[in-house]
Amino acid sequence: MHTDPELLSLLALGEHVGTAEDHVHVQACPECAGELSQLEWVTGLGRSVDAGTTLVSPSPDVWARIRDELALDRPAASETAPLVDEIPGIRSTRKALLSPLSIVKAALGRRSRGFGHELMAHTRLLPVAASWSDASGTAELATDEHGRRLLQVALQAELPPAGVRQAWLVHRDDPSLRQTLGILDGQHGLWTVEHSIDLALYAILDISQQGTGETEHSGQTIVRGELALVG
Amino acid sequence: MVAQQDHDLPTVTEAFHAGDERALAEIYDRWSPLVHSLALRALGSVESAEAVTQRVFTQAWTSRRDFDPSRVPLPAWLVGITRHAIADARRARDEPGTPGTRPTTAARDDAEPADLTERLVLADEMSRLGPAPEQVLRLALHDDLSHVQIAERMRLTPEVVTTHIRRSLLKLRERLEMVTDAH
Repeated sequence: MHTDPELLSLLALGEHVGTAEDHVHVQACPECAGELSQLEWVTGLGRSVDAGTTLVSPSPDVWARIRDELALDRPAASETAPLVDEIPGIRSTRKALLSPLSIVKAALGRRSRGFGHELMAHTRLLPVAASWSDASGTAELATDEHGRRLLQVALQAELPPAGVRQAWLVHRDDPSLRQTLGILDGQHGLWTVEHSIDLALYAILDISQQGTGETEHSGQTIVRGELALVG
Repeated sequence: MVAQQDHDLPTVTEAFHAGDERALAEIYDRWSPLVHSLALRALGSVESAEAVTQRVFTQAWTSRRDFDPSRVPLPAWLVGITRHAIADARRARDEPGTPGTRPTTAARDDAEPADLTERLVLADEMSRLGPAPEQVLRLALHDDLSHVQIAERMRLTPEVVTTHIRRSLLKLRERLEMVTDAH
């Protein structure tokens, strides 16, 4: 009988758990010893990592240059191309709305991850405060095949290691009226917009820097933009 | 949208190998932050790091047929290309007469720590675990609390804490194995 995997995890953390029998087994059994040593590798690395270490994403220009260099996805006659191409940073939108030029292999065999079905609104997000003057972003609103509204945000900002970034829809006439959309994952956000929210009124998209667990708008807006309906 | 789901890495790898451009875009979404961060730390300037990032992915695409997925995972292969590109960038910068980019942070000329890649990946993956598992793991790793103490602190049962620990360690190991040339 091999050692309980959960016990191995705790042992890998250096906890004093398990019976004498367990310890004997772990030392004698190559499988369990190997598993323990791998888990200890992970915990060792984990201990050496700074709590605040995050990865830095390259700017959207880099992907644009790669596409240029490799001559990828050059839509000649696609109707949706002109509008979408002008909006930097939303790579996945381009993937979805442009007719694919590459052959879709059976290997992909999964439902399309493309964003949206029909583009409804877009906006450039711009900073409002000097401390975020280098930040920018884009937002796109589209409907999926079920008619649900999806809002996708791509931020370009140097994110502080602490806190979270939150998206809000703000009433165009009364800035105190705010509807929360959700939290961004790094520089990206994707949310459904509940159908009763009137985007003609709640037209301002606001991305704020929030402390973890802070429920009210912090007052620190990173970028903001007005959703401009297309068509 | 963004390739956060690594459980379909084999699928994306196969599509990439076969020349599907959308697979390249997904791989770029998922791994360019790691490539860029490694380059940024090694070279100290955003401009150099971006040049390396561009080079890594264009090179990966043009040499994709040379890549054998059965020998090394795609992310590990990308990290290998990144290391070479960084070394080339250093050599080019240090050659006399080459207009260098001014580093914004102190660039280190010594070799990066051998496990820098693993540490960056681990830090990144920890932030994707979810708030409860992440907190459990931080308390275990950095505050050195036992699972019983963590349970008390977070008002969970020790069993739940242990489950979080086990699942998190397995996820971290899986991600680390993707960037490690362990073959």
